[in-house]
Amino acid sequence: MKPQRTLTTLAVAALLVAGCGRDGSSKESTEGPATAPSAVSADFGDLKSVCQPGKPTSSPAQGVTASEIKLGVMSDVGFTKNAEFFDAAKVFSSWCNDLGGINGRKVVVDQHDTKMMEVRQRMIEACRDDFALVGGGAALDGMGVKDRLSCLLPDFPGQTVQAENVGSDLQVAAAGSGSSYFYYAGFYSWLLKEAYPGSASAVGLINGDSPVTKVIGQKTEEGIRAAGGTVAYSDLYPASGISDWTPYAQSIKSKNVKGLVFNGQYTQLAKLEQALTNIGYKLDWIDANNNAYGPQFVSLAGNQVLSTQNNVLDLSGVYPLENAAGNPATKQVVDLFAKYAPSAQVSLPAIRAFSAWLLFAKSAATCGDNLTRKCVYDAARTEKAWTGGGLQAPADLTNADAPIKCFNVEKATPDGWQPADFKPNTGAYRCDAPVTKFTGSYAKPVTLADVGKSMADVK
Amino acid sequence: MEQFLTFGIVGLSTAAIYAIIGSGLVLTFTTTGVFNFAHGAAGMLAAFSYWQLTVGWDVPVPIALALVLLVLAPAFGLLLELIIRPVQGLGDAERLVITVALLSGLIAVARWIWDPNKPRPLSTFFADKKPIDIGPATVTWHQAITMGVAIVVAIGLRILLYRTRAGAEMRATVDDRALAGLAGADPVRANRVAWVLGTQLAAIGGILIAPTVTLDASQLALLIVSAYAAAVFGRLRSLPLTFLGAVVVGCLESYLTGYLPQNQYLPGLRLAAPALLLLAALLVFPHQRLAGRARNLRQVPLPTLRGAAFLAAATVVFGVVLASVLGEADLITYGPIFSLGIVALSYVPLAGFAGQISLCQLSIAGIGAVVWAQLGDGGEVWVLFAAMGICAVVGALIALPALRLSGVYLALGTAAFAVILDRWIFTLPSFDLLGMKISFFNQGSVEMAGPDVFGWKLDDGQELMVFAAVCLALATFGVAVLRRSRYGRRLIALRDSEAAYATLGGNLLIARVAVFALSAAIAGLGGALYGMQQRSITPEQFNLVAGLPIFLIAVIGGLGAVGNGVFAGTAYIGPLHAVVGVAKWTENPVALLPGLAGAGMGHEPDGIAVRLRRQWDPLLRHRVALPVVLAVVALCWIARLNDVINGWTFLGVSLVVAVALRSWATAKATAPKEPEVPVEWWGLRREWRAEDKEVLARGIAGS
Repeated sequence: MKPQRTLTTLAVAALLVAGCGRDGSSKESTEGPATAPSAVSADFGDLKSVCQPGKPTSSPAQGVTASEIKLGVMSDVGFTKNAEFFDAAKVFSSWCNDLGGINGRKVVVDQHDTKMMEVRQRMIEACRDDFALVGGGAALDGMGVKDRLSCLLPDFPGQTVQAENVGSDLQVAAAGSGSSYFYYAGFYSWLLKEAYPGSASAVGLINGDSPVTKVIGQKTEEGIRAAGGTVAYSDLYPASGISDWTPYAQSIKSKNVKGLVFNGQYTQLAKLEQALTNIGYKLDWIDANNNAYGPQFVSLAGNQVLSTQNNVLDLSGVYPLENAAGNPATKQVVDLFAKYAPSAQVSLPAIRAFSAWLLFAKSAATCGDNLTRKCVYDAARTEKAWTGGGLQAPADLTNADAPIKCFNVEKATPDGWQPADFKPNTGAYRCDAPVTKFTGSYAKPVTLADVGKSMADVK
Repeated sequence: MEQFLTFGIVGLSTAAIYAIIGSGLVLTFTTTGVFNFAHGAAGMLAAFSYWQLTVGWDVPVPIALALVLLVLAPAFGLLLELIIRPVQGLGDAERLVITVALLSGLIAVARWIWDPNKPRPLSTFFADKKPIDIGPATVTWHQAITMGVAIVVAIGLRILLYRTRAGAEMRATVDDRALAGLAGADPVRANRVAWVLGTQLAAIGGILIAPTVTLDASQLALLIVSAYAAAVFGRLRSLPLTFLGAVVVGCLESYLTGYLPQNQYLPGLRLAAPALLLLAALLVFPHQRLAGRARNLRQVPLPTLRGAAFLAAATVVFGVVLASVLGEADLITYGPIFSLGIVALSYVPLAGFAGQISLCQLSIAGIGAVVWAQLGDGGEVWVLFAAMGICAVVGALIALPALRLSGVYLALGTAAFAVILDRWIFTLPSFDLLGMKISFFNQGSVEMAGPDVFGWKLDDGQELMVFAAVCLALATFGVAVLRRSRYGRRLIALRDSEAAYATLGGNLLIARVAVFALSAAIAGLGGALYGMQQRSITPEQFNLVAGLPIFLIAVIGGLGAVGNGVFAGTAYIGPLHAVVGVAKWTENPVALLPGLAGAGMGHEPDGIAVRLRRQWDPLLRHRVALPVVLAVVALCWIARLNDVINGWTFLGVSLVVAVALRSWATAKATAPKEPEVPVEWWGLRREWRAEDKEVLARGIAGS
């Protein structure tokens, strides 16, 4: 899982006391008011008996007692006012505890509101109290990673953002990590070589003016070149916003840009596309990035823009939410949200967090009574083809730095996001992405050795 | 050529919005003398209200427009006038701060009312009409309307100011307030008209700009940096020049987008272009006459050395106690009490003594932090002095151009400098200059090591907090000594009257450069300490927006008071975190606090630090009460260290005992006083005293 971009939004607006909404707490669920399942089932998708009663007796690790497991969830709620990770945690824990918990131990969610700048403080608190971190993420997560490794806290993130954290030690990302490989290689290769070969000679790139997004922009540029594209235009926009997008639109038009990658807030993208549409310029494609996945972007962009411009994005192997009815696992998440958190929206990060929770629960269940950090981490690392019960494309978790193979592309229509015609070859996904290893110098993920520890210290 | 024309037309459409917003700024500034930082925020509120009416409640557009522009905006303008009137007679810093407070308060209110995660599409005017093609460029109807409105506003303002009685009154108020009053004009009425009109212009700008940008509280409120540049072009006085400035800024932004070569060093330059232009416009200002005796001056309190030493000792004790009772995570949260306190203290010599307003102190602190991060890996203490030295040089460099500026112009110039650092310099990749490798934030975050003081490696939260407290104590004592020194008196003379200072042989250049350098060095020290406490730093922690609350609280604390450092640090960091820590639901109301505190500032012009000092003085001087309080605190502390009580009990008991004994000591100190005898009865109804002669002489001389 390297939804670096998923949180770029937050980083972009950093420190403005306001701002940056991602899919939020609006009161609609993607699938409409689904009816709650009549009886709670212990199975999730193709995972059997995720949670079940048991009779644990010991207290083998910090945060684990005979009756409960304390798990930390990080989120920038205080800054973004967006509670999707806490919602996912609430839904999973309520469901799991109704079934008797993980082998009889109740899941206790310890919420850590990182409020953008307080990652270190919350990480230290998590170090003091929790057994592990599950299904969360903070925009500036790189600030807390040394503290996390110093206290040997395993992390099953819902999202990772900064290069220091993506693929760091003691971290199992449910979608795979592959921090030294370009995450969207399949997507861009499809865009530039198959779908819109004419656009390869003129790709544009707009990044939010934040150090975090700039690094992502550099990696994207390298990835585009590797996929055979030429970057003809590259620009920044100020994080504090922009008073008129028309000069940018005009610039894109005069440089004859055919494909545009936008690493920033989808609220800004909607306005840029309005300006492009107003001056009558249509690109072959605009990569809206997966921040834009959800009804908010569709509503902000409006019919006129969506029927003119071709917005695409890569869900990197997460089953599309709008088709939940066609996939039992996704349908089950939607139903569980309707039952346990009816006012919360099922968003892309919520699905990813749910996959992380399932990974933790399954791994922890294999440890039985003797639930230790080492056991749960090692168990998660044995998953060769983790799909979260069917929520996502299979990911090989045995290698902490393996390139991602699968991608699935969505396009925006006036009726909402829909799968694009990207020729899937493995169910809803396409799993023949080329491997692009970064050659540029970027910050490296933090290792246990960096803080003077080793795997032998993990108990 | 075709492209040139196209970008020109695009630039003009942007310029129209800047012109409308800029003219509102100029109108209120010239009439009331208050530069309204909350001008954009007023526009933001109008845009949100307009959205609420048209989209939220389906009110037809014309009615909604009329409601917002003719009812809500004027009402809000009158409210602004009420809030701002008490500070109008105060100094530049106070007048500036109240609008900064309004800005932060209004953003908090808007975020509270309108959930920032909900999408709020707002369509442009006549969105369904086909855009007009002018050669290769395309102008939408919305842009055409915006330009039309700008022209109407220009003509309307001209007629208002030169053809109506209200306009004449406003211009008279600008020229000479007292004289206008004598001639029967009502300055308060002129102010009201200005605020109402200014708010209406902000509202028009807000409603016109909102559909083309994101409807987001802070973005809308802060977008108008470019409009500031336009207003400064008009020297904050001339409306035609403001319109010209708007055209220059709009076209510059547009052409830079189109023509600036693309490499990794330059994009930031374009983002910073309005700020650079603002700075340039300030610098080509004709050199103004030296300011004469400033009005509304307040005395700068003179601390005694004993008092300053006591304060310094108390700061260290506070740091030690705090460090010993807080947990590791809380140490990071509350650590900045001392480090940011030092940054706040840097305002005291600069703004308090010398009367120079700077909005870039936190940015300079950022430079201090960067120097430490890049050079101080090993924690050598000399790097800390190097950081202060480099900051001092930067401060001196700012002072050179700032020599031409004062008051609100200086504030704008330093704000522009801060924006240039935020948007361009701090985001640069490392580069070589004259054989030296210069890097800033490595385009991300940089790690900070703790210092190594005489072989003593300070790297955990407790040690760093005590170290920061010691530094703050030393800096506080140093500033107190400065206040008592000859140089301190010179700075105050400089504040009181530049003309007199120069006439008496003072060198303005040296005095200003020195005080800028000194305060920059103090800020740099604070920044380096702040970075050490956070362990890794990003540019966002040091940007203009992050710096405004510190300036706000420093001014509320009282710029002249040397105790301001510890006060501002505590007030900025303490309550906000503590209250939310106790009760999570208070998050939204607490966000309003700085705004409310600023709005209430008119009632305590000397600053809260001074008032606290006055209130607690009886306790500090009492021979029984003070030891009792200290003993109780010490007992509680021991109890806390042994985990007998928790942190909140410790805080609560200490506060209750201190406040109770303070009241008691105050009652004792003010108790029996002999009845006042009128002057003319001295020597008759009471005995003639030795000092009476001098008292009378001074009384007569003073009147």
